[in-house]
Amino acid sequence: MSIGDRVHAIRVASKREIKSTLYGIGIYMTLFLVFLGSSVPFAATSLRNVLTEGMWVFVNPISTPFYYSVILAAMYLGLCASLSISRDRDLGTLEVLFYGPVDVVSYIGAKFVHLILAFIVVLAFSVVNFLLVSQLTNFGFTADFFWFLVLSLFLMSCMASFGILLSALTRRMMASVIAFLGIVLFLLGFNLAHAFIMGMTAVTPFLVYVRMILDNMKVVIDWISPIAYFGRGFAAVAARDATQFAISIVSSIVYSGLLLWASVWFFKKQGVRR
Amino acid sequence: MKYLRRTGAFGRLLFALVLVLALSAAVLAQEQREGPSEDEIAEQVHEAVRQAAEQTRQFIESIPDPSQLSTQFLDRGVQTGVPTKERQFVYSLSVWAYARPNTSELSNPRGEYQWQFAGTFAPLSVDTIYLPANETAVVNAQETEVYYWPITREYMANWFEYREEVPGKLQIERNGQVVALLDRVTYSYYYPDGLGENGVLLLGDEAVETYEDYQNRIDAFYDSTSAYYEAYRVWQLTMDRILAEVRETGQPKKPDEIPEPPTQPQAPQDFAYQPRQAFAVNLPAGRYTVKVIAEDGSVVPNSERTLQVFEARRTGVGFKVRPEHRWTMPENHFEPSTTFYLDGTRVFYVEPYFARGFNYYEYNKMTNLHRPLEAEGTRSRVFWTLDKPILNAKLQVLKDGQVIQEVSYQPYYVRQTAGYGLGYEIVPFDPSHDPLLEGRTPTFYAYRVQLEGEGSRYQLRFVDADGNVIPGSLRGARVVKRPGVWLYAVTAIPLSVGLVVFGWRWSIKRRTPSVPTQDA
Repeated sequence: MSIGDRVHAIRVASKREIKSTLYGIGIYMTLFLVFLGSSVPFAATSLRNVLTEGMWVFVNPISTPFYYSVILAAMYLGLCASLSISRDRDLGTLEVLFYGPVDVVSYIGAKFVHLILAFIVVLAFSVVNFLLVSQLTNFGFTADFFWFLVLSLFLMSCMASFGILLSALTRRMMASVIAFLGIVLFLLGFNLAHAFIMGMTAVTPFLVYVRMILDNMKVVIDWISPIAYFGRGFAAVAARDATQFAISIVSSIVYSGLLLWASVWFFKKQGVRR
Repeated sequence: MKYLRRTGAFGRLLFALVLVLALSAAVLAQEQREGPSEDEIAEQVHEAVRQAAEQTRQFIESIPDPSQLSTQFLDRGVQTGVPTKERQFVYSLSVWAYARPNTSELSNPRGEYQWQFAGTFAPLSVDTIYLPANETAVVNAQETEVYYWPITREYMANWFEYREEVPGKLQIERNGQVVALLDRVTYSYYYPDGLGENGVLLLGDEAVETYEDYQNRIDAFYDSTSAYYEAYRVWQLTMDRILAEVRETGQPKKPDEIPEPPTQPQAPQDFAYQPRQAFAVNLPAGRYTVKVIAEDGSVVPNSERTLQVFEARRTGVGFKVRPEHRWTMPENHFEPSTTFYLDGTRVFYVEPYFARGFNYYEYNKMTNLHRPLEAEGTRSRVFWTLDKPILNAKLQVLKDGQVIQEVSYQPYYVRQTAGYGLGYEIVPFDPSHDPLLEGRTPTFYAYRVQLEGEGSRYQLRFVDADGNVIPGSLRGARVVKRPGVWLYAVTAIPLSVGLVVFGWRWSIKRRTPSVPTQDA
């Protein structure tokens, strides 16, 4: 299959899928819940701190809810990605589809492009939401925000490729969902546990050993977790560190590329039949 | 200072000085009664001062290196168990522990930070030593008795009872190449403003000369103390004679006939450690190997260790911020993306510092190698330390890109308000305009900022004497608005759009005629 044909197939398939996403209520409901669950509590807490204490100094209070909002939205789309291939295979659609002018690369490429396009819609709503929150509270909607937006596209790229890989690896929808949610929730839980243990001041030998285990695990997990790539870039923006920011983006591209390549490889091994 | 407190050494120094006064006072008191002759009394005074001087000298010479002070086995440990001691080759390390905050802010209104040397040692079980890059650290190869003390979970050394220097040279290698072969050099620590204040590491002749100069001034102090008590005794006799004359004649003396009492000499305020010998290591950041090469060219057994020389991962400007309404609770902020959020018109005081961000594990291991659990599990953590305060700068407040305020570093005084109610006011410290401040010292020094206006946006930055913006000193400041329920309402925008799309699709579906089935 020529590159031109593949590009055409990707364009047609991804256009169809993004239309389907935008015409459904799912993405809007998710965004509503995400903003309600992350934007409001963080902004309200930050505001209460300022009003109670008279003065409060913190890193941009818009950036933390944005951080969690895009992670949650990316998780939702990653979950969709993890379902996509296994659902098509499970329902028998995949076999029918591959009788047409579609190969593995264009099929996975279309899934990936669809998720990135859907995430751009998410970002558009995020910008509107946080711009309004900023206007209402005078919390900073600074230049950092632009870089966070750029960075979050690469988060989605990592999350989408991660979901697609899981979907290519599993044959059943339920297995994909369980695998994706299990891994992502473990990674999130690990981050929370790590931050909690690191923040503890009382040092007992047991705690030190737990800390050592978690710290060593973190070194490995930071290479696996799509969220870790985003976290590094986010910290780089907060620290005004252009080098680390560039490293974060390049490593996200490499991560996504490797996972998509692995998805194609596993997809070919699994075949298109149920 | 904490090391001296730990051993009670500072107390001994004070004791020696007090001893001089006590003995001299006793001797002078004795003089009032029947007893020894004046020459005998003078001799006793000289002897007491001589003994005190000798004790002081012995004390100064006996103060161990910081590495030994902080890791020496303490007597209190013996009462709770018997340690198993093992003679080991160890590296003792004394490093500049970067800036440490002064313990008492009230005695340190400028917020200056002490530069202290802290010590540790690397027992056999430690294979990696951590040193700061481009700073001279004192490293010594020694044999001593080492034991693990489970109560405090640290290795301790019995420096005071057994300590042998391992002869040889310190060889430092990087990637298999020898980068330095060091001989021991003479070193000393000098504290220009006294113990507990900023310390300086001196090497070679400078260390010896400084210590000799210090000793000479200590000797001169005791000589002048001895002379002072002699002069005081003579003055006291003169005064007794004058008083007797006044009592007999009933005629008061003229002021110019009464002699001035002698002035008590002041002890030197600075302090110098007795010079010692060790390796002075100063390297750029990197991973090295260290070993001791004996005189016959062989490597001293157990002397090979990894040397991790680390540098700051980040540099910037740290803001110590005191809101006026809670000035006793300052907060430190380092990240350049931090923003000051205010509710209405607020006054706050900023004390800026140059700051450095280090890896927490490396920084803590540097001075805690004898504590195996210290900082374990924190290799991924970075933390900031405050360095020198920024004193000779101006704080500029900008609005819409224009400088609207320029603030200087000023002293301030916190004055309790009169009456029973709690309260205080922070006023500029200017005794020439406020007589109530006569004889007092400023509470703190800072840059005062006052910002106002709901919804306003400002920027703060520091500029040096030439008007250049100090890198990393830019911060935002905003006065918040109260959004009310609108904060919740904005989250419904995606849902509203979704409902519109859903309704639009539903209406299209309704308008589209359904295809009749064959049965119909």
